Amino acid sequence: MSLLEVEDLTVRFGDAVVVDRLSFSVEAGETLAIVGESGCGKSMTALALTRLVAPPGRIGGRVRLDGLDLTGLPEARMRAVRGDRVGIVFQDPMSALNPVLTVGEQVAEAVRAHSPLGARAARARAAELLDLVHIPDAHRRLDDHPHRFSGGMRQRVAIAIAIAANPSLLIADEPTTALDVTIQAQILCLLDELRRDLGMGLILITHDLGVVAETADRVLVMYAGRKVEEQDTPGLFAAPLHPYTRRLMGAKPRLTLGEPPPRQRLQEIPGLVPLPGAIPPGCAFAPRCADADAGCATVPPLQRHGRAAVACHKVELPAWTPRQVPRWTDRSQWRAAE
Amino acid sequence: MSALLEVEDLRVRYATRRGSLMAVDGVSFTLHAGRTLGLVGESGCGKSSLGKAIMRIVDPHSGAIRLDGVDIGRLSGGHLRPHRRRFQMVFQDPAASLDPRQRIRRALEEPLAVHGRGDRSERRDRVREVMAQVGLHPEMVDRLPHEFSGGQRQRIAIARALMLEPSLIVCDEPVSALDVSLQAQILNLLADLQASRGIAYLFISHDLSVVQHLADRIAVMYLGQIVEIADRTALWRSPAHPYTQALIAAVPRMNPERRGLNRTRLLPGDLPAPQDPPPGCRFAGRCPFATRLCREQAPRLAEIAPGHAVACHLHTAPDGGPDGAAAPSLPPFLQKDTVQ
Amino acid sequence: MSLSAPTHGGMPGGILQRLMRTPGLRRLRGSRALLVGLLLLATVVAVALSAGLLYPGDPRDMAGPAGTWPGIDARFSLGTDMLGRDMAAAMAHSAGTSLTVGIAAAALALLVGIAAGVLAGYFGGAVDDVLMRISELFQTMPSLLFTIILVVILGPTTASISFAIGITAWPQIARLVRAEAVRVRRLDYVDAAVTLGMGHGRIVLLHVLPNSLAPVVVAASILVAQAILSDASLSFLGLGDPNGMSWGSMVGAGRPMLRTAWYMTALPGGAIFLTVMGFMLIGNGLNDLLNPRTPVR
Repeated sequence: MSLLEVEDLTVRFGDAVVVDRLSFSVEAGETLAIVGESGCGKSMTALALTRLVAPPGRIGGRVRLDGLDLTGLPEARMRAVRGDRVGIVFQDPMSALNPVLTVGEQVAEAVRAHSPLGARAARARAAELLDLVHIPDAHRRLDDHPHRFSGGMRQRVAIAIAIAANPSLLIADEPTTALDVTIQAQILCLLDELRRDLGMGLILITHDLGVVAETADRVLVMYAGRKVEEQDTPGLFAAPLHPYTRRLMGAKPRLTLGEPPPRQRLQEIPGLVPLPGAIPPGCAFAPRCADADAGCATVPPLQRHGRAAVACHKVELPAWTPRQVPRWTDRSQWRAAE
Repeated sequence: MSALLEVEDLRVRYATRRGSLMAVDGVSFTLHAGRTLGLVGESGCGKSSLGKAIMRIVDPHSGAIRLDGVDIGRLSGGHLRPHRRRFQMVFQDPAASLDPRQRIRRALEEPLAVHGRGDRSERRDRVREVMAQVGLHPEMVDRLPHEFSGGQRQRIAIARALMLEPSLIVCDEPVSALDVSLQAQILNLLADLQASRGIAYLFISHDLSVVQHLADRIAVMYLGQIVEIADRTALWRSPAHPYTQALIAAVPRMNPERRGLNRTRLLPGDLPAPQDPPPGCRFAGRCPFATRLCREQAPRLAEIAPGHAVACHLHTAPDGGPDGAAAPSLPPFLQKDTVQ
Repeated sequence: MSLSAPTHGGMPGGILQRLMRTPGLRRLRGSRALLVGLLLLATVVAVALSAGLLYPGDPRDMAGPAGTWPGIDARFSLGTDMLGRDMAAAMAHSAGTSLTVGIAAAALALLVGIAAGVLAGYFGGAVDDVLMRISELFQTMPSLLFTIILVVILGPTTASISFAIGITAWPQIARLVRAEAVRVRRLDYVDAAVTLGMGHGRIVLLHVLPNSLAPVVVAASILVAQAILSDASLSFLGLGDPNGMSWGSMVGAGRPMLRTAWYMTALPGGAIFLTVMGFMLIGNGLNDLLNPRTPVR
């Protein structure tokens, strides 16, 4: 049995479906990346897993963590699950910390929320946690306030708080988006190290395919609230299945070392990401898809083959082998700049 | 080729509560007409302040900003206004760079009105023309900014910058606030406009892949100073400054084989406080190759090859020399993933 | 959520409900406070405007027996005061005075406050320091005392009372507008205007001012309410315009009779309360409308 099993997770606000029957699982010690553009429902998925969706929103579907069914859990029990079994790290390390409390107090508070430790023991554990997330001079910095920390250091503190109770699952929602690249690399390494050392499952929510490639074991691509593709990371980057994934990879300029590549036009994805509530019928990507035809007027079923899954009428999974799918690296289809 | 923009020893100073801060500290470069200079660095390196000083949104502390030979850094008020039409700016956040109460027509006609260009019908025609150029439907002219998506708003901001037919546009992180699919649209649009109208860009970005895609020449900034500047071929083929190398190494790439590479050892720690820059090389505290010389004496930007200048003792120290033994060769992880 | 049909205010509920359903007014339905406030204000304005028609003649003339309680004599629905003046006529005529002073004082405070606030916020530095020190000067003085001194110096006319109240109230508006202007000043569209070569005057008028006014809309209605209260206090103290009637002076005049004829103070007091309440409700309603916690879908 997997650490986390999600079945038909749905989040709706009135008539707007933000997350649409999403199913996936995460194994212990595994990193699953959920990738997509803004408005695709990836952050809402993170909130829905921990039942933190704000009131007008309604959550449907089943979430099982460690064999515990979270679906029908009363709010009081759910509160114990958050932090205790699931840790969450958000995008903005500034707003995740309380500016008037010292960092030591905040980490110690997270420790005591889930264990019967006394103040002194909790403080010692807080120092341990700060050390675990590689904050230099952890003991001395316990009494500093958050504003004395840089953005990267604040995110480390936020991570320390998230793992204070040894959760079995860590959800990181765009944890490095607000940070500089060199700091981003540090934080991603830290998350990877903690996952490995503590044996946690890690759900990494991001818009950056580069981050996905270098951190994740498995990738789930979301578009308009739905899962359009799921693959092991090497497979996804070797041969993306869904036209959206392929387009997304082609749209991002790629950093190349050595001889810079000749100037080429970037592959555009025409049109806009549909808003929840105005999602086109049938395949949600069809209006922007070059391969779409009349057959795309119905919602494509999710086809599975081994560990890969794709929701596209134009891709036939059982018959699929990597060579038949046009690779995004095939530059012949790119239009030259001049 | 003539130099369109020459920046010489530019300094920008801010007064902050923790003392005065030299956000830009002696920056010089040249940008030719119709070309793109990419300005990269992490937050706090002064790249945005440099852009704002060139746009004269903030006043330079000292130094010269010459646009076609005229020092626009010293002009003020009415003397500066006629020159303003030659250099325009596109900002990072399209939601903040358009007045939420102003219809698109007004926003686009404003530059013409300020500079007394054309009569009503001429302005109207020009608005339609420029809207079409940036890929906006002229029918949308009477809408308010919030009725547009982020990408469309950035097109409007670009259209506003184009209204006066500038020869230079300073682009401050123009695609950072946009989704990947929209980034491609805007980057392509900028490239098209450069090809068709010969506009020069000062392209400020923290995203190396975007800069590699667009820039002819790249300047890398660290703590208010340019640490390396080179043409694209030279910079991407042989980045010389340890900071440039670390920056490149840190960029997550769409290559799963790089998974698990420990890139953190290369660049530990954070930027030092800009109010109190360390003596010597400002990067020395984070540099794996730093020597005592680096900590004591600030290196000067010096050419190591024609058009390729680096501010690093490892390349320019008397005992090292341009091809000296002390120069850092590419770290192994940089060599490993050359062209993918 | 549907709004129950309001039955007061002389407007048939059906019409009102249909009005509420028109697109521009649909958001009003969300704010009962605003609706009730508007109805109260409409009533007061209607009474003020029709006072001359309903009660022609000078309301200060004796009209009947003194001290008639309301509901006793059909001619004097609200009774008469200790001098035999018609309470209803006095109340109606006073409505105009109170509204005039309230609105004129608020208008002055807004004018001075907005100008000072925008300039201080936009230019910052020395301009900001000077303007804010002046506003602190005003704020550190007890405003009622300051108003009284001004009225005593200038003489008690409606104009001077409005001026005195308005000139003591502007600092709060100035601080509000300044905070907004400081925020707007830092936004990119102001920088964009600078890069176009726009002068300070145009930037302030076209970009900074319009975008700094949102909180003022709310504050303005509360300001009117405060001004009406200040005017009532002045009149109560006998510093009102001796040639006009106002609710405040009526309260003051009725005070000695409080034990035997409390209606003489309660009626004008109630009128002040309802009018102030009306403006406060409008202010709160506008606040809900302009700063919706949940976006309207």
